[in-house]
Amino acid sequence: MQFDITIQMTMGSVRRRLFRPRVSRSFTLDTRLACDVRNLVLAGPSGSGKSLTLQAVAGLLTPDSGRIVVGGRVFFDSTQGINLPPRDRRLGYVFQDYALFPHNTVRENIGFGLRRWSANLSLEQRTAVTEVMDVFGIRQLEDARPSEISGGQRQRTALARAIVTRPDVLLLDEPFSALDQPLRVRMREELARILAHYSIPMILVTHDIEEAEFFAETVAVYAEGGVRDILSATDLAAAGKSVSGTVGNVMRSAYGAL
Amino acid sequence: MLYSVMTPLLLTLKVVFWATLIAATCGVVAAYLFSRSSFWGRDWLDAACTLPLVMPPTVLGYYLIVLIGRNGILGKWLEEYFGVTLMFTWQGAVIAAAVVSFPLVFKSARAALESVPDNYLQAARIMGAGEWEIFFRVTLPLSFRGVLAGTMLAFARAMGEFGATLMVAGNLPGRTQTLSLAVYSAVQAGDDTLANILVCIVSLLCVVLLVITGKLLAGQSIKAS
Repeated sequence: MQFDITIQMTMGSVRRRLFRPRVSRSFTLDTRLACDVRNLVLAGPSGSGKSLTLQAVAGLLTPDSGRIVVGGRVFFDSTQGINLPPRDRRLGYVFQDYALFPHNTVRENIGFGLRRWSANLSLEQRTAVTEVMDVFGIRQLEDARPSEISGGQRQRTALARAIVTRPDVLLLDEPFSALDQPLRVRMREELARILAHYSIPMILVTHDIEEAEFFAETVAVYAEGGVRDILSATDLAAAGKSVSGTVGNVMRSAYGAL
Repeated sequence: MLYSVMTPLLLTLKVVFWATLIAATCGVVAAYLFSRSSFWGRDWLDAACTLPLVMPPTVLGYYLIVLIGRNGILGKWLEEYFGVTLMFTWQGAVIAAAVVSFPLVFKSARAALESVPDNYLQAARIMGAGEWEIFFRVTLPLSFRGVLAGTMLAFARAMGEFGATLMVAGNLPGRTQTLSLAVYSAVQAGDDTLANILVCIVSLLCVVLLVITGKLLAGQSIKAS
């Protein structure tokens, strides 16, 4: 999967006073990122702009200028005036808090993206939902609502919901941050296995050094609103360096830079 | 006696039904537009939408006369091209009641719609849903309680409507005399029996309404995840 992402964006919170709007706390993101990999990891400390990059790729935010090309499809190009709406980008997205619909059951949540306007899925679609629930081991929870299941089960549901539509790319925004340590390790192994099985590429955002090391194929290390370093596993291996060690070192120095 | 009770009762139910329907539809649509977009003059339009709540009903009734009266801005046009007169008809009473109860739906629907976390909408968007689909499959189910509560308040307000209705539709027995107007007329005429019966009916309707609302809201409990 080819990623070609160039974004400039200034974020400011506009506080409206009585008559005059007042802009405060602005943050500038300036990112250049081009690679051709299965798994891209955006890593770095909180507030470094990695989540903003992911949201721009998904179309949840519109950059001020730049160009976003994923797998040869142009999502955004400010010079040509292209801005594909999120619904046409064929993505899967897992939110940090999962954003499962509280009024829907696990099964309804997973099936949401399969059918327009209706919760009545075709036999084929129902089978697809059942299959992905089996893959994540949440079949027995199909009639439960998100509030009735555990954090780990919610996360599996969110992943299943993002994968069932067979997206071109899966975007994950700190998906494991709400889980406890042992579960986090197990879930990321499970996720790697499942993505390989369905051969879905992913972009993962994380501030966790261990996680970045684990998924390291290409890691873009963020600091202070821009990409500080792009580390490619193949290049590192060719240079005879330890991949995870180098990723860890660069990330630690990015944390230190703050 | 039966006639003087049933006529205002049936008329009230008819007027309140249509008024609530209009107020609820317009209120939810307006609330949705407000919660989704920002435009110049938004605060002023918001104030204008809430105005019927704070203005004296008679003042509102006067504005309505200016608008839909026979010589009114809209009324003249309606009469000229469609031959429709709204003054002193039950349809006029519907409009008066709808305008008065509109802010109640608008306010609570807007608070409910805005309380739906953005994340849910964005998740639905990424999964390919259009804005209308998101509204009906995500936003509305999640803000259903607020919308329903507002609609019930609007219903009650429409039933109690007096001032604006009196100005616009008058107090014509059998044609525009709703329950609250009939109570007033009965008391004025010294007909205590009729007044008692009418007051009991109104009170009963209000209690039933509150119980139904409570039941509906209890059955619709959605725990946040």
